[in-house]
Formats: sequence, structure tokens, C-alpha cells
Amino acid sequence: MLISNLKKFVATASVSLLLVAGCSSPTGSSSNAPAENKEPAAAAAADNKQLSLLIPNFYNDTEKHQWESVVNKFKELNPGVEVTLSNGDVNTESGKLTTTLQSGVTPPDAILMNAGPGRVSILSDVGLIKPLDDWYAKNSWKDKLQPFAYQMAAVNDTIYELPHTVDAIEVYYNKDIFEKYAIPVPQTGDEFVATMKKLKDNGVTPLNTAARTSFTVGGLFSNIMESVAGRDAVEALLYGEKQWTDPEFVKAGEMLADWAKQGYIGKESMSLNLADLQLSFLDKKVAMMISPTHLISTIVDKQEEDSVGAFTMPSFIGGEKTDPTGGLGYTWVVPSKAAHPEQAENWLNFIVSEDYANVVLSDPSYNLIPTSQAALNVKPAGALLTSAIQSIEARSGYNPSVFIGSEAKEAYYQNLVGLVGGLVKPQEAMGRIAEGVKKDQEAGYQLTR
Amino acid sequence: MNPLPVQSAVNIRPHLQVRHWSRKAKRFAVVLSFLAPSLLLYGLFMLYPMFDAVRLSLFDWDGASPTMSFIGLDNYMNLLKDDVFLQSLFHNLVWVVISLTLVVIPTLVLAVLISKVKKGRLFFRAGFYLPSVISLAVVGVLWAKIYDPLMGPINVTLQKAGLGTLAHNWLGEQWTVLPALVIVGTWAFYGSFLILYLAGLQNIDPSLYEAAEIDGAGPVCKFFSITIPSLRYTMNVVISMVIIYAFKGFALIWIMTQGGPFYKSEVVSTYIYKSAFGMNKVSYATAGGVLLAVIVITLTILFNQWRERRE
Amino acid sequence: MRLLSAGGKSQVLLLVFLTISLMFIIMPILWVVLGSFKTTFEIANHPFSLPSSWKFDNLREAWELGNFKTYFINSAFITGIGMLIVVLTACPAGYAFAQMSFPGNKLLLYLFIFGWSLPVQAIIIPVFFQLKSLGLVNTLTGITLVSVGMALPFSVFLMRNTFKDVPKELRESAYVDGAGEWRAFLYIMLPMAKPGIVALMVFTFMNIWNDFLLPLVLLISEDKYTIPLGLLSFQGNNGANYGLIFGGTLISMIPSIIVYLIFQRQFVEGMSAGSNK
Repeated sequence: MLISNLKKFVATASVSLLLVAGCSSPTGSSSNAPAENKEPAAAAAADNKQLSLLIPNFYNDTEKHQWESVVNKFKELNPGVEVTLSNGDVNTESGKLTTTLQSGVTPPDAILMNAGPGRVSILSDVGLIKPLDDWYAKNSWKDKLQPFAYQMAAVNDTIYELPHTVDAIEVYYNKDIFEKYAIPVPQTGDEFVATMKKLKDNGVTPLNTAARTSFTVGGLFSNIMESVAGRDAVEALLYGEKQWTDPEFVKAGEMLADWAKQGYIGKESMSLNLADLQLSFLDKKVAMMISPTHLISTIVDKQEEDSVGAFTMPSFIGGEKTDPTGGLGYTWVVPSKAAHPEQAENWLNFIVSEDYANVVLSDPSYNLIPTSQAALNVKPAGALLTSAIQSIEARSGYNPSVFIGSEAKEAYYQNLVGLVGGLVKPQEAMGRIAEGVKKDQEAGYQLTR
Repeated sequence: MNPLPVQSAVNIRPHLQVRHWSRKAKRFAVVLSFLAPSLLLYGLFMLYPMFDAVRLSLFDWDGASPTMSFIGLDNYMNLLKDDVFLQSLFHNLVWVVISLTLVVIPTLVLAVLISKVKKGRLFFRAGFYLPSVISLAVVGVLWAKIYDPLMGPINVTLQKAGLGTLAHNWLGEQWTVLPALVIVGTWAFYGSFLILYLAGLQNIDPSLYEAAEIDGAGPVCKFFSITIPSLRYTMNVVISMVIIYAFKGFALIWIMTQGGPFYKSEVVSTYIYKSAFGMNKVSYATAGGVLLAVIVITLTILFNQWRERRE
Repeated sequence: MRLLSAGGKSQVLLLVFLTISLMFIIMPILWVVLGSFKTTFEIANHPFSLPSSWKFDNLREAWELGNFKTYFINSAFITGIGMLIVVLTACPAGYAFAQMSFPGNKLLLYLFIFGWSLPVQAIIIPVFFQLKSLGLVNTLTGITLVSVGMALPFSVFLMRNTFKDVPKELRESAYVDGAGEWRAFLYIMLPMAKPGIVALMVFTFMNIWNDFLLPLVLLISEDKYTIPLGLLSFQGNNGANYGLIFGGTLISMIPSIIVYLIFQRQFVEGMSAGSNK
């Protein structure tokens, strides 16, 4: 191993030194071409039947098994295709995904990433991922997706993504803790606050979030916005018809800050990441957490299906009904320099197929809500997922994280964490998010109806 | 301190003009053969990128588009108006202050104590240096667990000792996050300074202490009147290194907090990394890097001049 | 007691104090070592107790699940080749700066020292795009070359100081014997600088082996990761499984501790020499 590495090293080192010596500007495009074009061409000649996928890290073994059965099904339908799964960071926030695609190294053929224009546009703006309009037309994906999912992908003139899941962000709670203190599932916003107070008075941390995985705080706040401002107001906000500094959103910010101040949101939330958060919830150190359905696989993995329940955060506006918030959850993108785009297309066709829906939904541990029309005909095996799917059947609320642009999203996350930590005033926080929105608008990003 | 360069025999006797020149050329070739390999690698992977950084910082570039537009000093202007950048810079300064307090004198005291040990001095030197050989990635992962609010040994110990009120969410609170990080940085770096002090202490003339003892000076008095003045040079080196480290810090912060919560531990290098690779603001981030380099180099030069003037 | 008679009461007090401080300082390391044999539950509830049973499950699982074998080979390659190139290039340069007179000697030396204070963060972005245009991002070759380039300023300076300590008469006598500059360097001076070279190697080992920023930016795929980067991704994949993470952490820190313990003396001397000039 070392010896062969050594030979390669000497060879590449001398070639590269010559290259540098030979060209005056290494960042110029002249030296770019040979190094980058070589690999895909060679690989394509060698073997067409390969597919490499980059997917999120597994939270547990259960998710690993889910993926194994999905891949097996694909192989069964496409004999001879080698599928390589690799796990990694699929947020643009940490920079790893951008560096991966920037690097000129042969990228995976398809990437399952956290959805949202603020993330996808970071990649598409600089041409790192492929427009998928042709594939949409050729495979009539528009009809194979549920309308809501398609609309979310088609916010701009060009479509860059195939939605994989939609979220239903709700309150998950430990039934035994609620039973122990004889607390019923709250029906109104005031009851919800009373519930938190009662738990707190009994020495139980009512609610945790994970400041180090900022989208978790984003999800929590989306629930509060839905409950305080209402779905229509949030919709208007996202379409640019309202401002973040409007009173109803400032009020939502005040409520988040107040819950943290009262100790309803555990102090430890500030240094937790998502994995810690899930662990503290399932170890019953905290009564509730706000989460999309992907928590389900961890619940099943820990065999806690019977002791965890879910409800939608009730409204603070008298008599109104709330919906779980959401939007796209995960979404597929295809790198511009993918070596096997034809296999990626195959894979994406598989994702919207009934075969795929059957494989995943027949698994009682499955934890994501598929976006395909085909999935609507399959009855999920898991009870929690079934009820989550039902809860957004008519409609769902909005999770701003997956609708706003990149500058606004950065401000949104940082300032929400600031609110939970008592580090920023609500008015100020909303002002900064509004500034982010303005920057995005200047850069040409705005949702339109 | 620098003795004059050795006059080599070859250079002294130039007889004929032609011979002189050919000798010079040969001499040049010999010198070059010694220097060229290191100059080449250093030039390629440090000097060239540095010039490239300055060039890039004058453009508006997202890292991928084939074209970039020249915008002069706009990136720098925007940086100086950028709240988060200024805050990061301020955190670097706070880092300097806290780590100077934690390192300069306490490490010296430790070094003096170790130097007094008669048997087993090497053992203590090796033991106290141990944290410094561990990679910062390991240190970061390890200390993040130590500070963990629920399972970390600090809070667990405090709870068990009935001091639960002192338990903090060390990496999650505004006022504790930066000091908590500096402590980790100190833990990881003080070993090098300890070694420097120990070496310096060995060079102090023991007769100075003997004379002081005859005058009836106690250990504290000796420390201030002999040890510190004699170690002035070493202390200067330590101080300048602490300052440079404080501005260069990246790994620990990136691993433990990524600059959070709410920018409260953001420093220039984490902000640069985020802007470049998380938000496509490549040339903007490069400008931040150039500013960082200017600050560090200026500080180094100023400090050296000040030191030379005092000596 | 022997100790008492040798150093008196104050020696004992001093030893006790230093031992306690040392325990305190290395407690974090101890915590990891003990923790890597414990379950997550034990780590949380009895942080400093001995593990209930010395099981190697965490270590084995981390080694197998965490690809540490691959990371180890990569780290060894980058560090080994890097060390070799650093020694081969820094020694002649240090020698030239210390013993040869030529116009621009001082200036060039300052140019190197300048690089010593230049923060890597300031140039990491251009370096990434430079390697990209060379097709060397995500290659061990690329990161090795960059690591060497960045290690050189200090290395050249260290070797210059080492060669300054070699008496100049030695070199001159070699001249009288008619030896050329390279012969004098290779056969007379280099052997004299052996301790300095060992120190240089240990230093370079520590710097490259432990580096985090360069691998973070320049290495993309897991099969190219070095140990520090691998540990981080291992941590990301295993979330709250403390036992397993501690296993990985222990694996990651063992090599540098071993190298340090073996070469302790040279390392310390090299460091003292490097900055006391």
C-alpha cells in the first residue's frame, strides 16, 4: 500500500511541479481542463453500470437497514448496477458539501441533501448541480410527484432538485411523563404553556432543542409561528407580502425568548446537537421535543414506539386549528460533473416509483414522508408515520428554513439560537432576519405565487 | 546576537576579472543548489498563494464562475462594516487577553517549581507536556464532552458535590463559551511554553540566587527580583507566541462550537471558513484572511521591535 | 526516609503538589482512556471510576466501523513523505543560511521567517483553488506538498540555528582538504547536526500528523481522510455513543503520544533551540 502510494506520489508530484512551472497562472482555466476531464471520461469508458450516492449520516442502525433494503430493491430492478452509498454532511452550512463539489474530484452521481432554496441555490448559483428540466419532461416527474412537492421544487424557472420527502414538524412527547403528572394533551396555546409550567414546577425539563444543529431550532420556531401568527400570515411573509418585523412575528420571537427565560426550554439546549437532543428525549430527561418525522427511526431503534406520542402545537389565536409545519425535507440533486448521470436518472425514477414506496412504507421503522403520487396508494406500516401523513393530508404549515434564501436562513438560524440563549432581543432578531431577506431579494431571490 | 556571516576563503582573492566572474557564477550555482528545493516548495505553497490571496481579495468572485469582476477595496470596506467580522476580531482580542493571563505567569511558576525538583524532574516535564502532543481535533472532541452540560464530568462532579448551581452550560452560554474555549487552548499549548521556561531557567546563573539568599531574600522575593528579570527574553518569546496563537486559532473552535452560540465564539478564522465554503463568498473571505495576516504580521514585527528596543 | 534526608521536607511538599497538579492536568486524558473501556452509561454516571470490566469492544468497533485503518495509512503516508522532503530540503537551506556568505542571505532568511508568522487561514482559500487547478485536491500528493511548503519556514530556521552551532573551523578545514561545498556539507556538517535533524523530524511529525485545517479543506472523500479528520467524521456518525467515540479518540491519540515518549529528549531540546536564538 505504502509502496504503491509512494510511486504514485513521485509521479504526480513531478508532473504537478512541471505543470506549475509551465503555466504562469495556476488558477487560470488552461491547466484546468486536462485534469478534470480525464477522470469521468475514463470512468465512463470503463463501466457504465455504476451509481454512487451521497446520503445523510445514519442516526442509528435502523436507518442503515432501511437503506440497505432500498438499495437491494434497486439492484433487483436494475441488475448489474453497482451502487455505492456514502454518508456525509449534506448541509451546505458547514461548507463540506460545497468543497466536495468545488474540488474537481469526481462527485457522487446523486446527493440527498437538506432541502430548501437557501441551500440548493448555494450550489445551483455557481453551477455545481445540474438543471433537471429535461429529466422532468422526459420522465413526467411533474405528474409522479404530489402537487405540493412539485410546486416547492419548481419555485424558479429552472428545476434543480427532485423532492424526496416532505416534513411534518410536530411536538413529540413522552407519554409516561405526561401520565405521571396527569397532564392531558394540550388543546390550546394557553394549555400548552400551562403544561410546560406544570412540568417545570415538577422539576422536569418541558422542552429541549439543539442549538448546535440549528435547523432543529428553526423547526421549533416554525411551530411557534404557526401557532402565534397563523398559517396565512406565515405564507404571506414567505411570499414577501409581510415583514419579519411585523408584530405577529415579533410576538412569536418574544414567546420563544420567554420560554427559554422561564426554563421551559432546557438550558442545555444551547450546546446540544441533534443526536444529543434525541438521546435526552428518549432517555426521558425531557418531556417534549419538536421534530420532523425522522425521529421515528430512532424511536423504533430504542423500542419506545409505545411510550412516545405526537401532537400538533395548538394555536394561540382563539379557536383556530393549526397544522404541522413543513415543506420539503430532503431533496435529490445531481452534480454537474456526475460521472454516471444516466444511472442517477434511473435512481431518481426509482425514487418516485411505487416499488420504492412499497419498500420503505412496509417497514414499520420508516421515518420519512415520501413525495410521490405512488406513495399515496401504499398504507404505511408504522403508526406514528401513518398519523403524521394523515396530519398533513389536507395541508401543512410552513417551515421557513426551507423557503427562505441563504442570507435570510443564516440570519434566521443564528438569531433564533440567540433568542433561546437570551443573547438578542426579539425585535432586533427579527430585524436582522429582515435584513437577510433584503439581501436575498437584492441577489434576486424571492418566492412568487 | 548574529555573528557576521563566515567569510569563505573562495570569496577573498579575486585575481582576474574573468576568473572572478566565472567563480561568481559557480558560487551562485552552489548556493542555489542548497536553497532552490526549499525555496521552490515554500514559494509555491506559501508565497504564491499569499500573492494570490491579495489578488483575489480585490475581486468579486464566488469560487466557481468563469469570470470575476474587479472591485478594488470593496471587500475590505464591507468587512469593516460587517458586524459579525468585527465581533470575531474582538473575540480574538479577548482570546489574547485571557490566554496571556492564564499562560504567562502560571506557567512560569510551574516551571520554577519543576526546576526545584531534585529527583524526577524529567518525569514531570514529560507529564506536564503531554497534552501538547495530542492533535487539536482530539482535544476538541474530548473537551466538548468534558463541558457537556448533562454528562460532562465537570457538571456531574459539581452536582454530586452539591454545587449544582455552579453548573453551567459551558459552551452554550454567552459569558462562558469564550473563556471555556481559551482554557482548552491553554491546556493544549502551555506545554511548549513550559519547556521554553525550563530551558531559560537553566541558563540563570545560580550565584545570583546564592547572593540573594545571603541577603535574606525569600522565595517570592527571589522570583520577582531574579527569576523574572533574568527570563525577560524567554517571556517575550512566550508572550509573542501566545498572541500569534490567539489569532491563528481555528481547529478547537470549529470542532467545539463552530463559532456559536449566536456568533459568541466566532473568530476571524472560523468566519473566513464559513463565508468561503458555506456561503460562496470566496473573495470576501479571502479579504478577511488577508486582514488577519496583516494583523498577525504587524503584531509580530511591532513586538520584535519593542523587544529589541528594550534590550 | 531517603527523600527526606536528600531534599528535606520542602522537597516532599513540592513533589506532592506537583503530582496532584499533574493528575489534574492529565485528568481529561485519563477520562478518555478509562472511558474507552466503558459503556456510555458508565461514562456519564461514574466518570473517573475504573471500568466495570476491561472490554475492548469500543476500541475494536471504532477501529472496524470507523475506518481508522484507512485514516492511519493516510496519516502515515502524508507524515512520512512530508518528513522526508522537509529534511531533504530544510537541511541544505539551513546550512546555506548559517554557514555560507552570499548576497541576500539575510533577506532570504527574513523571507522564510515571514512565512513562519503568516497564518495558514490567510492563504488556505487560494491554496484550495491552486490545488484544484492542478487536479491535486483530495490527493495525498497535494496535501503532502502543501504541508511541506508550510512546514519549511520553521524547519529552515531550526536547521539554520543548528548549523550555526557547528564551529566554522570544521568547515574551513574541510576546504583546506579540497572538499567542495556539498562534500563538506554531507560528510562533515550533516553528521554534526544529527540531534537537530532528529528534533526537526519529531517536530514535523507532530505538526503534520496532528494538522486539522489543511485536511479539512483539501481532503474530500473519506478514503483520503487523516486521523484527526476521520475522528471528527466518526464523531458525527456516532452522535451520542460516548463509549465508541472515546474508543476512536484513544486510537487517534496513541500514535503521537508514543512518538513523543520515545523522542522526548530530542523534541524538548529541539524546541528550546528553536526559539532561544
